[in-house]
Amino acid sequence: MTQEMSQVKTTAPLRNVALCMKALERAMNSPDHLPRMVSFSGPSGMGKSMAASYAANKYRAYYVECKSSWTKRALLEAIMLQMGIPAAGPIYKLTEQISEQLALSGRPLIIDEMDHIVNRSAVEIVRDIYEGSKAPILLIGEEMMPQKLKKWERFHGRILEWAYTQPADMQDTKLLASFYCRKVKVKDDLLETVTKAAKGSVRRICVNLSRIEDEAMGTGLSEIGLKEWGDRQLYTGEAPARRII
Amino acid sequence: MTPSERISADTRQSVWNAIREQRTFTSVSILNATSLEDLSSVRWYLSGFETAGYIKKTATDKSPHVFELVKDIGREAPRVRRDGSSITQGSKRDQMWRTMRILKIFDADELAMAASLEESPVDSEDARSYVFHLHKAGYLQLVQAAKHTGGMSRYRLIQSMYTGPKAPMIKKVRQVYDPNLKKVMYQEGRS
Repeated sequence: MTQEMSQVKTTAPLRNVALCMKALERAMNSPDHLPRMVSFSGPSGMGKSMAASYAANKYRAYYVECKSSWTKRALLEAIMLQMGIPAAGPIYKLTEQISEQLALSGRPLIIDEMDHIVNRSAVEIVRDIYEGSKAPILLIGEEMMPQKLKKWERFHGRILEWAYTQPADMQDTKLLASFYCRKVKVKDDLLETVTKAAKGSVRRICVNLSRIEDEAMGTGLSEIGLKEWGDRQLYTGEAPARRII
Repeated sequence: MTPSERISADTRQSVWNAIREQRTFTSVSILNATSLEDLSSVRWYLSGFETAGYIKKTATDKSPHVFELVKDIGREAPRVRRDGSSITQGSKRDQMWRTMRILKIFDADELAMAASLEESPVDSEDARSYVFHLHKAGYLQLVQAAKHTGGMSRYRLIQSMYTGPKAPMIKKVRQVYDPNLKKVMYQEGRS
């Protein structure tokens, strides 16, 4: 195989996983007088979920994904389900119980799709939990999340770092190829084309890599490069151009 | 995790709950607060917590010893053996269970990839078997069946089937056991 392989394969070397981990670890190691909330944002398809799951597994973080309909209570109940605590009682009680569990366990809290509640009062609950626990909290959302959070002034000042996703590069494609193309060898020239066509999106890279493996298997190739791929289309996320027959 | 380890995890949790409630305690006071049957099994758990530094004997020479809780890590009991070493078994399933929720739609290989840690790699075979059983047990919905030319089936974790943070266990007798609901969700040969 041409794909580079480390001893144990994880998603850790992916650019956006690494960026996300760096932000979370900064929050976890932040001295007492500095805030412990960090934000990680960017457009969809950039591998934020992969980053979130790696971070959640690494530190056994409590993870919740917000829904746009969420009230304060819904958010609290979702976190409590994660903690295995029955959610009964008034909102301030639930907030206290969550804060206590976070503070004692030392485990971080990851709030994904934070933009869904950014215009709602549930945002204030996140701040209350943070104030009550000083626990490291990672907020994940789409690219406009930081902008929207600025509206909540008292919230904004508690963010230690605003991290942003970066476009996936050739290194990322190579690592992903080692996962998605196990049965065929994909040559670098094709991997480079895939990287370019994906325009930074991890999702598009993954879709193309599995297509490439499928095609190669289907045509009985054990090795595939740009030449073998020929004029087949790659998925670019755009509607295909009309074919003239 | 074998059934005996599961029972032991539940018991460890009940001992830990009693410790957190009492803060200062003896093996007898823990025995009285739990459903354990004899002092020797209480001591078995206490010695693990003590060696790992979660509880400490207070400076009295009274017998039985008086302990106090010195490191409270919250509601979840520390996963330690009698000798204080930590139990990691079952954690790969936990990783997969956590990852399914975050990825939402996945095939077994993607799950193995996203759930792997350097210190705790998840292999594709294990992911395949876990996904197969959870699908049988009604946790996962088939989104896209495997094509016969290759590729893998894609699944989605059914939201209402996220029962809690503990990963459902595949038991040796080919059952899926949900420790949150304390219920067998699937048994091979029974529909």
